[in-house]
Amino acid sequence: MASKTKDAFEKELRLLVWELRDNPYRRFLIAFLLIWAIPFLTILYLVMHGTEGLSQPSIAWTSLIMLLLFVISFGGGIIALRMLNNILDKLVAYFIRAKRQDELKSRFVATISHELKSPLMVLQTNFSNLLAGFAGPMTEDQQAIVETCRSVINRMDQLIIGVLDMYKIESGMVTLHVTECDAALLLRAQESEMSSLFAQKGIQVISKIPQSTCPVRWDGPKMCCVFNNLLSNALKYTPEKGTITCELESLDEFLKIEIQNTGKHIPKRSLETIFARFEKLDPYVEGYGLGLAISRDIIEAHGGRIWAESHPQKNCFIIYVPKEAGTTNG
Amino acid sequence: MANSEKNILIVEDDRDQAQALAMYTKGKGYLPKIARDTTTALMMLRQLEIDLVILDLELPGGGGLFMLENMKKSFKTSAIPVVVLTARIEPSTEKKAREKGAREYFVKPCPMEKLFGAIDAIL
Repeated sequence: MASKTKDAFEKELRLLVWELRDNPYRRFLIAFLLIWAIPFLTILYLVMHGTEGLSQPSIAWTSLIMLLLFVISFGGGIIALRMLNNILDKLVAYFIRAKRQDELKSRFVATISHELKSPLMVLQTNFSNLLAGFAGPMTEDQQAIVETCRSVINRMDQLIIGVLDMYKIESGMVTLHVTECDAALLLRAQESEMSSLFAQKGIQVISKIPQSTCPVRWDGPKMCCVFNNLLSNALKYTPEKGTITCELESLDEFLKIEIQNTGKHIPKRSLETIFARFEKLDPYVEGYGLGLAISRDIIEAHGGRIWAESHPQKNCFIIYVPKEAGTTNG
Repeated sequence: MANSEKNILIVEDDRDQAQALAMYTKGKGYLPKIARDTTTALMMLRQLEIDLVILDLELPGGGGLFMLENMKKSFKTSAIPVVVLTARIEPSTEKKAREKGAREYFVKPCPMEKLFGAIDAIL
C-alpha cells in the first residue's frame, strides 16, 4: 500500500531526525567521517600497497594530491555539516508543524461534533419529555408537531455525521481498518436491512449475489456504508413498483458490484458531478448529497473505482474494488 | 426495589441538558440527581447511595474519563454502573471509556427510548 510505505518511511525518517538532533556525538561522528573519508582511504591505499614501487616524483605527486584531497574533504565536510544541520532544522520544523496540524484537525472534529450535537441532544430530550407526557398532556396535533421536530433532529444529525466523515476523509484522518470479511455477506446484509423499505414502495429487488462466500480484505464497516449509500439512493430514485438489481461478480483479483435501478435516467452531464459534495440530482429528494462523495472516497481508499452509467429507463452504479484493499490503484 | 427508590446521578455541565434529562429520568420513575462537574459528582457518589451514573465526557474538573478512573479507585463507587452520554464520536474515545469501566456508550443526540432501554436493563 503506497500510503502505508510512505507513512512507514516518514516514521523512520522522523526517528532518525530526532535521534540526530538529540545526539550531538552521532552528528559529530557523521561530520568526522565526511571530513576524513577521502584522506583515510588514500592512507589506507598507501599502507596496503606501500610506497616502494613508487618513484620519488610520484610520491611527491601523491603527497600533493593527498594534501589537496584533505583540503577539499575538510571544506566539503564543513559544508556537509552545515547542510546536515540545516536539513535537520527544517525537518524538525516540518514534523512539529505536521504534528500540530494533526492536533488541530482532531480538535476541530471534536469541537464541531460537541458544539453541534450537544444542542440537538437538548432538543431531543425535551421533545421526548413532551411526547412521553412528562411535561403534561398533549393533543394529537401537538404530538404530530413534536414528532416532525424530532425527525428534523435526526436529519440534522445525519448531516453533521456526513460533514464530519467528509472532513476526516479529506484531511487524511481516516485510516482503513482492513480485516478478513465476506463481501457477499456484507452486501446481502445491507440488502436485507433495507428490504422492508423496498417493500413499502413496492420495489422488486433482483439479487444476483452468490450464495457462496466471497472472502476479501476490506474495511468492512466502511464498505457497508458504501453499499448502504448506494442502496438508499436506489430506493430514493426508483419509482413505485420499480426494480432494483444488486449484482456481485468475482473477477480475478477484483470484485465488480453493480447496483441498477429503474426510473428516470441520470443526464450524461450529471454522471460525474453527482459524486461531488452536496450535489443532488433532485433537490426535492431527501438527503444532503454527501453519500456518493463519501462512497467514492472510501472506494478509492481501498484502491478501487466507482462510477455511474445511465441507460434509457435505468441507472447503474458500478464499483470495481480489489479483493485486498489497497493492492492496486484500480 | 421500585424505580422510585433508585437514584440516578446525571453528570452534565450543560444546564438545559441536565434539566431535560432529569425530567425524563423522573418521568421514568427514577430519582434524578444532578452534578455539573466531576468534583461535585465524585463527592455526591461518596455521600449518597447512587444506583447509576449518566456521564458526559466533556466536563469541567478533569472530564468524564478522569471521573471513570477515580470511580474505579474507591470500593464504594467502583461497582456503580456508568452509562456514557457524549457528543464524542471517535471510536477511540468509546474504547477508552469502556476500558475504564463504562457499561454503555451513547452518542448525542440519542433517542431517550434507547438510552433508558439500556438503563432499565442495567437496573
